[in-house]
Amino acid sequence: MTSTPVPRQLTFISRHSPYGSARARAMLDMVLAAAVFDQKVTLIFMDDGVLQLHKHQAGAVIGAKDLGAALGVLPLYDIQQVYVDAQSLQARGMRHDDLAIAAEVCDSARITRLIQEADAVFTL
Amino acid sequence: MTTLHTINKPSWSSDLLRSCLRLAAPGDTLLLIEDGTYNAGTLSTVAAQLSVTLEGLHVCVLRDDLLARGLAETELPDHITTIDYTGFVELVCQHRQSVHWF
Amino acid sequence: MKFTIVLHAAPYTSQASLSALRFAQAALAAGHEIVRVFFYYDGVHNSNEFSVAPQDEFDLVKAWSSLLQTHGIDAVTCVSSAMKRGIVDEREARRHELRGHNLQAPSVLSGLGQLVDASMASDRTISFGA
Repeated sequence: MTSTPVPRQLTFISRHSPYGSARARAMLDMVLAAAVFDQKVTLIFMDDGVLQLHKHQAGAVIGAKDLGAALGVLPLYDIQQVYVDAQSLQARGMRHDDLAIAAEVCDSARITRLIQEADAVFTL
Repeated sequence: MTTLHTINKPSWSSDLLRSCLRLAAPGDTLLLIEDGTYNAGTLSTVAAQLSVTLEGLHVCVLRDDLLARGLAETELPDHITTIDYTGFVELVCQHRQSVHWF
Repeated sequence: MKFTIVLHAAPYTSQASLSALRFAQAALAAGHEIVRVFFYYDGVHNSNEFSVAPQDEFDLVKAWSSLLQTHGIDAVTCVSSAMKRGIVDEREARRHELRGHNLQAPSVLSGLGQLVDASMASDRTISFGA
């Protein structure tokens, strides 16, 4: 007897800046794959990962795929649970209200709870 | 349910430990592996700098990685336990999720 | 328990690949099942058959191949990560008219869907990286 697998809570922590390495892009690809497979996806940006949320990115200038534009597809994949670490933003002089995508800015305690609710956590 | 955190870099050159300690909760386990074993002696200091308590955290170190780096088991703070890969597997089983900081 | 292991780092360049291999060995020795090993990002280099280890060094690529084959573990190398890093199977080599192919058996090239699929079927997903 087979049964439909229950969607699992897959949580992704994106900690790296875009363009300087491929890690941010590779993380995003994992996130999108999880969404395509109808999993419950939570995406958390922290540490240098918050740098992906700068507006007005122009990846084409360095011959790179624009990560800022790529993040714009998250709603199309029905990825709504997107969180940004407030402390990481502050440390990098970024404003909560000036991010490239819609995301909930939250504190460490919230991120801890998000991790605790996950069936699996992915980092890169 | 509790979380297993693994860390593989020393705190002098990487922010992994600081990020992890900010998010670790009482009951969680912190496992130092690879170059993360260098943190064994400085964990308390880093935690104090962050105004974060280690109370309630279980701290383990992968023995082979410690020994490879010339760090003595006997010099570890009392609250740190050394484990082998069998113990590593058990920790993964015991915790609902693991966050691998690398 | 059922495990999925994800490896993001190349062999030799960091300790991650060896750590992942030793974890896998310990998990199997303890009677657990490894549902899939997924090589992603720079981890695809662990599937490069052309890797030749010096005689006085542990051959990580062959060790992975041996472990996976001995225990019949499903191994997937991410196709997009692999192709851009020059790890190709026979089919892709023919398609792109390349001089040779080098995907180390028993791994197969496939997409990230295989990672998600494996994680869905596993009790625990563990990642190793540099």
